[in-house]
Amino acid sequence: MSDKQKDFELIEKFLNGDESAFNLLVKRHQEKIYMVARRMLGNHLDADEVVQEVLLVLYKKLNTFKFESAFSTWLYRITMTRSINFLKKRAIKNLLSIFDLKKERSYNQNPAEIIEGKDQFELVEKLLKKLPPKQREVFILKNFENLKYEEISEITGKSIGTLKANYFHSVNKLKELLEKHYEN
Amino acid sequence: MKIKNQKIIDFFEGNLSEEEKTDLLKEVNSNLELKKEFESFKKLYSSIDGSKNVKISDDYYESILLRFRNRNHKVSFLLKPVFVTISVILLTSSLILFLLTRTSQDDFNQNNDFVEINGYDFENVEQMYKLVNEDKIIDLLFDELINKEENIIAVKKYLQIEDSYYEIPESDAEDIYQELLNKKIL
Repeated sequence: MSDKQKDFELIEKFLNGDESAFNLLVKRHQEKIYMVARRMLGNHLDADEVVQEVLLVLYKKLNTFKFESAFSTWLYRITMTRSINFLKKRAIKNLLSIFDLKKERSYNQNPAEIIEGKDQFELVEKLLKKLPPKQREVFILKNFENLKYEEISEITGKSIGTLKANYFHSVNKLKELLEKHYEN
Repeated sequence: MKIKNQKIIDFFEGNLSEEEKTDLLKEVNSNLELKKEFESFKKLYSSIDGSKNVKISDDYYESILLRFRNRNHKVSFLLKPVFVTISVILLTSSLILFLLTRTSQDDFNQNNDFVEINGYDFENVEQMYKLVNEDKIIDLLFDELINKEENIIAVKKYLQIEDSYYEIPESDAEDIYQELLNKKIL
């Protein structure tokens, strides 16, 4: 049975009242959700919040899934939408300086322990944070999730031409940022 | 240089034929500026590849569903008809009690300058008042923020939004108002 069919089977079971099918579905995809959110948001705590939001959307909206495209496409779309909304909210809050001190977070705090590849991961995470969200989105989906432009277009709703232009800008910008990083 | 950069990107992403690769490498070796660019991209792709090998602890992944289920269970419990009915009865009783107490206290203190209000009941009324009016307050504040051109320009600049027709989503603005309310700025 293919991954796509296995997902469909679990969704159908969940929609028929089998709660354990939801657990299995989440376990199959939770790493993907977390890593996309983490690379989009640049820190663990925000990514974790988005992961919980995504699960809530899944839980409440799985009955609207059409079984036309792969479940992962739908999941990427939800994760990206939640992440970009989170970025906007965070930016507006920071801009208007209304971040409550009680809620201010230590972004160095990292309860999700990185076991391997920490240095390179943190370097790239730092560079990605400096890209505009649109460029970050296409870069992550293409480079880390290995998706084709056609699939990214289905997820983001943007034309392939726009995505290619955004991707080109993102790679060039990252290259410049890395050069500056090594200069310093 | 833009065309060359595209070629270099294609090289590192495996989109060039063997012949194209050979041609590009020849050009890189004969052009110092291009070689510098090529080396920079090489470092970038090496860092990206290195960052793909990250592994997050299993404990974290184990906790995701557990926390979701706990949170969801609490929300479901709060929305259960029995819980809602009991809450409404308690709230109504508190309000009646408060009004009765207040009336008798008003009668008692009608000749005094200082009227003491029971703290618990006052809190309930304040909460009810807040519930009824919060939506209206948020609507008013939302209109005010949206109508301030300098706010929109600053937000767009910060978010690097090029589309001049972009509007701040209502949900984001509401979040700001909620923060202001929470901080008792308003």
